[in-house]
Amino acid sequence: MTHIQSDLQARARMRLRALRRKHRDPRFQRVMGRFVEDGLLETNIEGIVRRRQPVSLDDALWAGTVEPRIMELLPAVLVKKPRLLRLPKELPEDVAEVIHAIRHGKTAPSFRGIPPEQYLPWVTQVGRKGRSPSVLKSFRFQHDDVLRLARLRASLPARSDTEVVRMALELIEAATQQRSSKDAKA
Amino acid sequence: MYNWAQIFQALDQWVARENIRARAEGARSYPSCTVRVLGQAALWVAQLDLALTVTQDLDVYADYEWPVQQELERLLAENGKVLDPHGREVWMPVETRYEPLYEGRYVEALVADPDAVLISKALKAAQKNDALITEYLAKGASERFFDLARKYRVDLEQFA
Repeated sequence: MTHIQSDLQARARMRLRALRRKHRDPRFQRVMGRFVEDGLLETNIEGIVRRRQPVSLDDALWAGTVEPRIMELLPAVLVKKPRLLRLPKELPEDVAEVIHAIRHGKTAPSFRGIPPEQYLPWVTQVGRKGRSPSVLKSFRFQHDDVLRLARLRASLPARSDTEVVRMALELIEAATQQRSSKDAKA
Repeated sequence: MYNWAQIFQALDQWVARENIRARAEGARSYPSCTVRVLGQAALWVAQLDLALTVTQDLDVYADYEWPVQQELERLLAENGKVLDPHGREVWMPVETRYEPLYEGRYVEALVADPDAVLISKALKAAQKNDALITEYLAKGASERFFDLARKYRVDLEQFA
């Protein structure tokens, strides 16, 4: 081991001791225990005991500074599984903002250093799998398209026009992925 | 953490069943495929002495066909897991070594070596993996890790 490497190791050891203290903090242990209990996270960190009681939002926000994966999951938990948390009467402004953006399909802001492309995918995975809050989109269809939708709705059968469109989108996506994997092989 | 080899065995058995059916019907069967496990799951498999926290997602490089991927997604979902749709975008060094995890008739699963996974994390997601890399350095990182860090210009100072 070179001198530089052993110096790096010595400083990393000191940093690790500070990190271990944070892992032993009851706030971290409570939040991790709750997220593990719900299957959102798995960990081999010592002393984490699964717990069913909700944890305070403050604790979760603090634990998220220790383990970024907690922060990454928090927006999805706030929207899809808020029962995991004890929420204060008045939410911190950035928390209220991120909840509003997800629920209304608005441009999502970064959340405490986590960019939206990292936390948004969890919105469909947490809680009811594959479900994200629905967003209103309007399209202008020709009369023929409207008739086609009605025919498909009856023949598929689908519960709504939205479901017909959803099925069509899934089929197009599957076909596109099949084509791109064939192209990649060629 | 779930036993990944069991999932790949179940996938292999599914492909075998589908191929028997396809042959009976005169249809095209699925070719053999290779799945390379990356990310936190690879570290977990390696059973390193590091504090790991993992989400439900699995990052892989794979050359399977779409229906095989769908079956893998279904098997993962049964176990509370999800296939990361961006797994194929994960950067891994060219020096990555892949160890066998499961070898079946149609599905071969390999797992990336820990040094390569940790370098990928240190370079591409330093903030998220700060504690992990710090712990690895503190416990004595391998020469190979330092060599890779030098080659890919990973600033290890940020973790110490």
